[in-house]
Amino acid sequence: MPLVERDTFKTLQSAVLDPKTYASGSERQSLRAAFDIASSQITKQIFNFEAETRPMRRSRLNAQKDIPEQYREVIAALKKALATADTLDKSGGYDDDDEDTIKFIRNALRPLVKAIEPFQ
Amino acid sequence: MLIGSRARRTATVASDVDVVRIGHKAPLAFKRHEEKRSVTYIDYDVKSFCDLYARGSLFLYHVFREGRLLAGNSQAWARLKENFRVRTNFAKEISRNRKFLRWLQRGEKFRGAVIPYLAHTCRALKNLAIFSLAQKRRYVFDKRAALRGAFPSLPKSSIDLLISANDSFERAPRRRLSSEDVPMSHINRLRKQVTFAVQHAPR
Repeated sequence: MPLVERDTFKTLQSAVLDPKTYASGSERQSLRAAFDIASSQITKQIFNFEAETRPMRRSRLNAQKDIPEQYREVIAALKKALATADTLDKSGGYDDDDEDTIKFIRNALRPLVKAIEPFQ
Repeated sequence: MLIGSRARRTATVASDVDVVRIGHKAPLAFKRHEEKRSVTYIDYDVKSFCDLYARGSLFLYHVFREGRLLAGNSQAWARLKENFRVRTNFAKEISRNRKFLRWLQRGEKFRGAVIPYLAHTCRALKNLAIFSLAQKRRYVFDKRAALRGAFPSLPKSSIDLLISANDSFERAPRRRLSSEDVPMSHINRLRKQVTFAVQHAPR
């Protein structure tokens, strides 16, 4: 069983390959959802809890003490991504468009995707 | 500008406060953490606001129709409001939200992510509803009313579940929804309803 649902992971991979496309429009919407879903599926599989609220997911993950050795890199990358994921949560009314998203993809999402890959 | 249920005076104790700020990004000082959590800011720099204004943004129409000016030049705001013309073709936005909802319903994205899945479905379905109704010159900005108006086949219980999941995921209320509160049979039923609603949404 993959760590992240296949189609969701594919969206994250596509965003890393083409950050500009995923910074706006329906692709940005998909990226935001894919990141929320992937982070929940990772914590569910490793720690058996789902992300039930966006504001609390980071603190709950940071509170986890025993991280299985094989998932340390994934969790470290996820923590880093969650720390800078606010840019995805910014609301622009009904139209989302955010250039900071490109920075998030390059600096935080790319290492996370790389860390997840072996578990897919 | 105060918008949303607080501006419409339909807010409940669980409702948050939605504020649109133009050319102003300094965060307000909050006395309590709960206050910070319950206020959502939508910030535009002046250039972005002018661009949306020129394009006849439906969201700005929402702000002009229902918003209440909290701070700023009321005369200038009244002139902007008077001269604003909302766009009439929302085909691109309808197509975008429909495409996203199809992506969300593909595979099993809800496994291990029940609340995020429901929250994103709610948000996209609400946007699809608002744009679809606007395409028919029906301007409804309350999410529950928009969902009911655009998707009459969607049961009230499903709308309640979607909104409750969205509120829980976005704001972490005291009584939040847990993934254990949502049996898999509900998810499967809801996915069929959403797929049907997306297929039959006004175009």
